[in-house]
Amino acid sequence: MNYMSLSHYLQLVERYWKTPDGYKLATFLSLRHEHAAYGNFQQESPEGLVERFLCAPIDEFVCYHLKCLYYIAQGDFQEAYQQQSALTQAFIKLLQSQKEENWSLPIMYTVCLDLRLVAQQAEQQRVGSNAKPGEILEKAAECLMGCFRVCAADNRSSEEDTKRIGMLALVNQLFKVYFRINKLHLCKPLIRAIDSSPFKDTFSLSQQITYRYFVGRKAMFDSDYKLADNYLTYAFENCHRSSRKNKRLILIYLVPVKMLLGYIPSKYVLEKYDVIQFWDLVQAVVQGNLKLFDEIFERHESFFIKCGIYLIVDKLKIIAYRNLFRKIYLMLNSHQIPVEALQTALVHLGQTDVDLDETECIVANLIYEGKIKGYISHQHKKIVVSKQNPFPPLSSLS
Amino acid sequence: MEKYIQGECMTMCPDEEIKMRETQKLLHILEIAPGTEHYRLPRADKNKMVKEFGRSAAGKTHNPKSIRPPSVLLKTVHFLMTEVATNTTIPWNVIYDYIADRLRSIRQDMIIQNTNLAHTITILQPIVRFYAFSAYTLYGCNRSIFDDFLNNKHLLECLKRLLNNYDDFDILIKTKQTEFEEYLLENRPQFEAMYIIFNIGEEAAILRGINLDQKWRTSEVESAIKLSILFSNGNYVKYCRLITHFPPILAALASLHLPKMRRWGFKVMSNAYNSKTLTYPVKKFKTIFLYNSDEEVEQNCGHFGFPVGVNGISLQKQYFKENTENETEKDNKNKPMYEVPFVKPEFIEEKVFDTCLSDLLLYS
Repeated sequence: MNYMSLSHYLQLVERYWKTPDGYKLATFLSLRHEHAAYGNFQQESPEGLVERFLCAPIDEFVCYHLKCLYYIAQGDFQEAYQQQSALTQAFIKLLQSQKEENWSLPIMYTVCLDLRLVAQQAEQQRVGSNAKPGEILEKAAECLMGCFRVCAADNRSSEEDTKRIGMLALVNQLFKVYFRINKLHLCKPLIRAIDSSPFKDTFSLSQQITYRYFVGRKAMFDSDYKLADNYLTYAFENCHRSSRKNKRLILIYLVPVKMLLGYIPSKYVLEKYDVIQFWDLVQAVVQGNLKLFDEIFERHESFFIKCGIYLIVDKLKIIAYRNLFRKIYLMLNSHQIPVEALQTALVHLGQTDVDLDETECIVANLIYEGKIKGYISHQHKKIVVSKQNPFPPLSSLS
Repeated sequence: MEKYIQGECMTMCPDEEIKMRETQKLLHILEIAPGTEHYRLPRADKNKMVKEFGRSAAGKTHNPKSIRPPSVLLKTVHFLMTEVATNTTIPWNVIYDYIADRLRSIRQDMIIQNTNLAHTITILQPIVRFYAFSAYTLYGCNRSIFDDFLNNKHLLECLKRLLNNYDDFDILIKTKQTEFEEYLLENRPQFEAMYIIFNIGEEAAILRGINLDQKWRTSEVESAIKLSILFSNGNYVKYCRLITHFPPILAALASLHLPKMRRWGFKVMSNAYNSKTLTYPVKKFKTIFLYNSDEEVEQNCGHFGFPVGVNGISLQKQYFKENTENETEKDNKNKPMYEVPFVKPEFIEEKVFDTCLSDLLLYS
């Protein structure tokens, strides 16, 4: 059974091109639309037929599209990528020639998203070829940048017709590529472009959520936890409740960031979004149980690595130290804590190679960061903590 | 497939260049035939001539006759590391300049011919070690004698290329397109660890380490990851302790971060031990931060503004001299520290110079 005949499809494309209807054309050029699955749309050399129905430049688009479908059906993603890339290049030319109009943006969204998806497939298939890892995705990113430049440079058109409104969707696609090929430094100019855009708040909510998710993650890598918290919280709170998978993704980064800033997630939330791996970790940090912490860290190591939160989770250990020392302070009920007491506790909790010097060093760093108020007396081998609020709540620190 | 030139020059230096440099008096002191130094035109010792580095320019085509095939390149690297590097009659910085230049031309020949993975790996390994060794031995030299920035740039460039080659090799092995050749990869952990230590405290480098296949996460690599995390957590006690466990070149590279770690120590300790009456013993400070002598500690204390009395160092927050204001903590820790006097720890010197230099560069 066919979705529709190819000639009918071409007639419709022609009609929508004349209208012009960007949304309809976008679906007809999509690799994910229903028509893509039918054999009659997978054409190796569709030029003859297409030219009978369509004229330039839309004929070119359709040819690349049908050929791309053909190679996907053949399982040849390298060639499919070449076709989709050619389609994108041709589209950039069209976009550039269209002054004072932006009806074709929906086509751009579709074409660019497909380009990235095909590039990812091609990347996986590339093994054994001569290309360097990430090379295809890098090329795809260059292509996306081409679109981005056209959109960003469109500052003459009125607000209704400006192509600049398409920037954020492209930036999000680029983020996805850069995070995948581990080139986070390339995100910076994009962030600057969006933050200084007058349309900053008029972009669609879904795009804004994606954007803040990535900028939040980037801030996390740059150790700017306050900013990361801001962005990720926005993304989490605004992400639609039915998008559980996305909410879970956001939470994987938001939880460690929040914990570093002194907030403890509830078990209910962790369970609800299936990130219960964090619950033991929360317990270990809250109790200052370094032994448990090390165990969990080892057990879930591959999960933490896979999600890219290995290093930030490692930083939580510092919070665990602080909580442990606070416990000892409360137990001893004294403002003078022998360094030895802390060291004994550390050794007892599996930190067997820690001696007095290192214990002092850990405390010194905590004091320097303002997590403990007091001073160390090396001569008396004691830590003298402040009478008032010696362990200020982490959430009160800037 | 692009066509790459196949080199045809079977000596370390093309004949044409030997003649040209001889007649134009462009022979390096290391290349002159003994006894002819005082001639109007000193003669070349053909066994010692090595092709100079020349920038490739637009329009200049490469003559296969002046390009050396991989086997000759490898021989040349060995010659430089065994015969030239061990020369003790002229200053090391002169030898360094000479070798660094010749290595550059080797890399250039290598790239022009697009040498295969096995060759590239075997050629690059000693080159990277040489740059790392030089980064240590010439640290702190005046910029006019030794340009550390340039050296580090070359080191990083070669190291990155080497790691990329390892990655490619991994893929070939996985897809069974090549035999697993153990000798090519047995040194890989050393260079993975080197990348992490060179980029100390940098997340991207640590991430590369933790994402490595279990096979490569040897104790060397594990320790390097640990060291880098200790650095970023500011744990100066354990950082200094861990350095001592590394093999020569890695220990040497790790010790170059000591000035930064010491500065961090002064900063943190002047906060945590802040007291008008209490002091911190010099001996303890010396042990923790790997100083060679009490005097060295006192000098360093003076540099950062801390008075040293009979009982020890008086650590007070207000004394600490910040060199420049408006710096974030992170910048502070990673700032190059040339202005701080740094004497290399004796135990590292021993470690590095106890091994025969050519063995260190070629086989360590």
